[in-house]
Order: sequence, then structure tokens, then C-alpha cells
Amino acid sequence: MIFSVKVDINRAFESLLKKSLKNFDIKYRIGEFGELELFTENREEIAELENILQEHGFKLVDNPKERIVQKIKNVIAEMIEMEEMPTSKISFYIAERVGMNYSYLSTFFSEQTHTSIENYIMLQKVEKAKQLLLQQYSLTDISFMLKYSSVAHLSGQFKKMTGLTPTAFKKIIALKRENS
Amino acid sequence: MNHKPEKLKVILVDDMDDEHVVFKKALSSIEYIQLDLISFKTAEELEEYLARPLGNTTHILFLDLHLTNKGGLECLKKIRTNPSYKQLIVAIYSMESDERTIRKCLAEGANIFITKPSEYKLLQQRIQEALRSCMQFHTMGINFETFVRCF
Repeated sequence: MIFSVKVDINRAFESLLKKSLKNFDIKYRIGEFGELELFTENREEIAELENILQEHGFKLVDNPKERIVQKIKNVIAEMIEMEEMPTSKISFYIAERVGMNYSYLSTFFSEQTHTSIENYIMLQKVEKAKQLLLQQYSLTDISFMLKYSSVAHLSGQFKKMTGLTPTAFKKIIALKRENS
Repeated sequence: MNHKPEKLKVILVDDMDDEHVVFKKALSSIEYIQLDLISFKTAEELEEYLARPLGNTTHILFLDLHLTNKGGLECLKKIRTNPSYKQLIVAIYSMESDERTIRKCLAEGANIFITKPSEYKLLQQRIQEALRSCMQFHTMGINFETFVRCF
């Protein structure tokens, strides 16, 4: 049987964290958008915990610059998964959630990642569209789910980011799966 | 979460000297990451190189589809059978642009297909875009299996 797995990343992280912290006496607080506060200064313990988390695909970022970038990415990831798009403009929304001025965030993000926030969102949406296509959702459904204004807009962005039409993409991945 | 590589090793396999020059030029204008270029003329040389482990450095392989002796596609298939290279980013390039060829290369496991334009400025641009998408792959949490791109 083949299943698609839907992941609630925050819950997955919290349950792993609880399990991993059993052997340590560290108090913690999980904030919004993947923020983790550890009430300890014991570097050795933190390093040990970090190793366990990393084995499960989670990485602790403590460099302040990287933290801001990660926070923006987390807000965007959450936004793409939302059923309803925020009613305010995306730039306002991100600025509000991260708690910093958008023009500052936008420059900062580009400096750190060599891509603009807009481009990053486009890329993540296309990534999500790829997943949904392979789960056999129709283009109409996908354009609705990812808040594209039309199927043509979705196909246009898909082609721009991949060089392929959604149909060609599906065919290629199907063939690829047959081959491997 | 993926991480930004410190540097990128670019492996090129092409039997034409001219192409080596074009690649060198295209890479020299990129400033946002340190790039190393290793070039070979035959698939055999590449195989010899890949026989040793690549270590931790991030690599991208550019393969000419029409290599003499062994073609790029055959070379790619062989690479993908080696578990160590299941996740190596491979870009194939060719003068051809017909859909069947492109589809075949991507279905056999190439991540990127570049149609070689006759104008060499444009080719440089496409090489640079390919490198950029390789970087994006590493920094933006992109799924490897569905990472297919055509220029």
C-alpha cells in the first residue's frame, strides 16, 4: 500500500524534544515558528542534545543572523500550509509575525541567502505544487490550495521555476520511479 | 534543514577543449561562492575520479550528452547505480532540445538539462543559472527526487 504522509512538524519536534530531554535536567520553552529556548548555559549538555536532534533531522541555529533567516523561512512554510492565506499583504504579514520592519527583513534575507523573499516564496510554492501534483491533485485544486489567481498563473510560475510544464514534470517523475 | 555549502566543486566532462574554456569563463564571474573546477575529457577519466570517495565537499557534475566512446546518458546510469552518488547533482547538456531527449535524461536521474544555445554568452548564463539552482537546492530544503530542471 502506498500512503502520503502529512507531517505536523511542530508536534513532531516537540515529541522528539520531550523524549530526548528525558536524560537531561533542562527546562525549555517552545515558542512560535520553531523557536526553542533552553534554560541552561551548560554547553556540553546542549551539544549532546544537539547531536540527538540532528540525527532526527533537526538543527539548532544560534547564530543571530541565521536565526532571523530561519524565522522568516518558518513563517513562510507555515503560511504555505495554511488553509486560508492571510488577509493582509504578504509583506505586512511576514513583518508582523517576525516582528521587524519588512524592508529591513527583505534586504537582510537577500544578503544572507542570495535570493529575495518573493523568489523564495515562489520557489517554496512550486515545491509544494510538485508534491501535490504527485499526489494526483488537479491543477485547478492546486492553484486554489496555493492561492494562485488562476491555473494559467500556476502553470506559468511552475514553468518559470522548473523549465517544465506541470504535465511534463509528472511524466518525468513517473518514468524516474519506474527506472529506479 | 539543509545548509549553505562553503564551496562548490564543479566536475566537467566534455571531449571538446572549447567547452572547457566556456565553463571556466562562466564560473569565473560567480562571486557568491568559492568554486573549484575539475575537468575531464572522457567518461573513463570521470569514473576513475569517482572511484574514490568525494568527501564532504558539495559537488555538481556537468556531463556532455555526446561524449565519444561512452555517451553521457550511459555514464549517468552507471553513476546512479552507485549508492554513494544517488544524491549527486548531475546536469546534462546538449545541442538537442527535443522533448524526448530531455525527458529521457531527467527520467534516468539527471537533475538538470541544459540545451546548449549557439551563442556562447547565453550558454554561460545557463551554466550560471544551473549553479544557482544547485545552490538553492542546498539552502532551501528542496526534495532531491523531484529536483528536475530544464534550461
